[in-house]
Amino acid sequence: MNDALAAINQQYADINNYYDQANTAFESQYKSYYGQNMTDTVNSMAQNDIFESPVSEKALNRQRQALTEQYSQAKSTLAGEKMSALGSVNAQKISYYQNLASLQLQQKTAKRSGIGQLIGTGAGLAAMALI
Amino acid sequence: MATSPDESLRNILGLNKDTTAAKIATFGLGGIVGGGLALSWLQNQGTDNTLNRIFGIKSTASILNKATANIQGTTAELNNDLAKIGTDTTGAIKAKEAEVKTQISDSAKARGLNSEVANAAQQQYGGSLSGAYATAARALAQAKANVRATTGRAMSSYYQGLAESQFKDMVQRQAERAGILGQIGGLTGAIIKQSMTKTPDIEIPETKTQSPTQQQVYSQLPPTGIPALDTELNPIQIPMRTEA
Repeated sequence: MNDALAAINQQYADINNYYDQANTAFESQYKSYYGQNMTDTVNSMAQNDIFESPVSEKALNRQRQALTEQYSQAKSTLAGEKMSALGSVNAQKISYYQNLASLQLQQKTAKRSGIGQLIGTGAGLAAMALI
Repeated sequence: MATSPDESLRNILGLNKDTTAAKIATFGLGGIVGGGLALSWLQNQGTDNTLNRIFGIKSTASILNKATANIQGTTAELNNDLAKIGTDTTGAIKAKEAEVKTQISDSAKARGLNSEVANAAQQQYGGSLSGAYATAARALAQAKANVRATTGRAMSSYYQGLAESQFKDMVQRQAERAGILGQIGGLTGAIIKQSMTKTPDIEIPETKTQSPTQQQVYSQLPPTGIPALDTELNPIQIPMRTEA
């Protein structure tokens, strides 16, 4: 049973490690993605002869807004997946403790049955000793 | 002549060991006393705990309390993890929002736009981003609720099993008592039954009223399995040997 508990705890550690790595990778990729998209937007406006002006600023801000929305959506999706994974492991742990208690109760019942037989036999022998 | 403890007991209680009724009463008394002792012993919670300690057995309460504590501890850890995930995520989103606002302001100033334009752009951006943040916060809350529902189902299943275990333990303890008393009663009953079917001791009473003929008969018969004779009843008629 201790091996089962160790395996469950290892799942916790693995999930945390995985999502830490996933978040780090996402941040790095998003940074590149953000920069690339902004560059593409500036280049696109330049090709249309739109340069530094309030018009270009509005266009760039809209692009920034869209990219940030993507960022928040991706972050919350990753977080939700991690929550779900941890919840699943938690349910396994509850089931483990439940099974452990059940086994301990069965052991206890078996031991007490043996004691009960001893007491009954002893009482019977005591009855015979009174003869 | 020294008397044995059982003889002393019978003398005290006025029981004559030579009668079947006295034997039955003695056996029954032993069974009742033994059963009473066992029952009072078992019904004593302190003795019950002592038995558990002597034989190294955990009590049901300690087993279930430990399991409940472990499960509640696990659930508390999960709640802490969920809260931390939510805080970290919303914190990262807000940090990104602040970073982009700074970029907007710096970009406007770098292009020579006045501060009013820059501020207006910031406000517009900030307003639209709040919608994205709210969406993200809703998604996190939904994920948290789903996880808590899963955990809640597991906890509910555990508490149902907990109640069932406590009930089974109570039934088991009653069965133990009944089984022990049944064994005592069965043993006592077996002894009583045995005493009622037992062949009485063989005795050949010596009486001065025996006729010479009877003395001759007794001396000639083999010393095995001879029923006792009551001199008041008709003795065994043995034909006399007639001498020619």
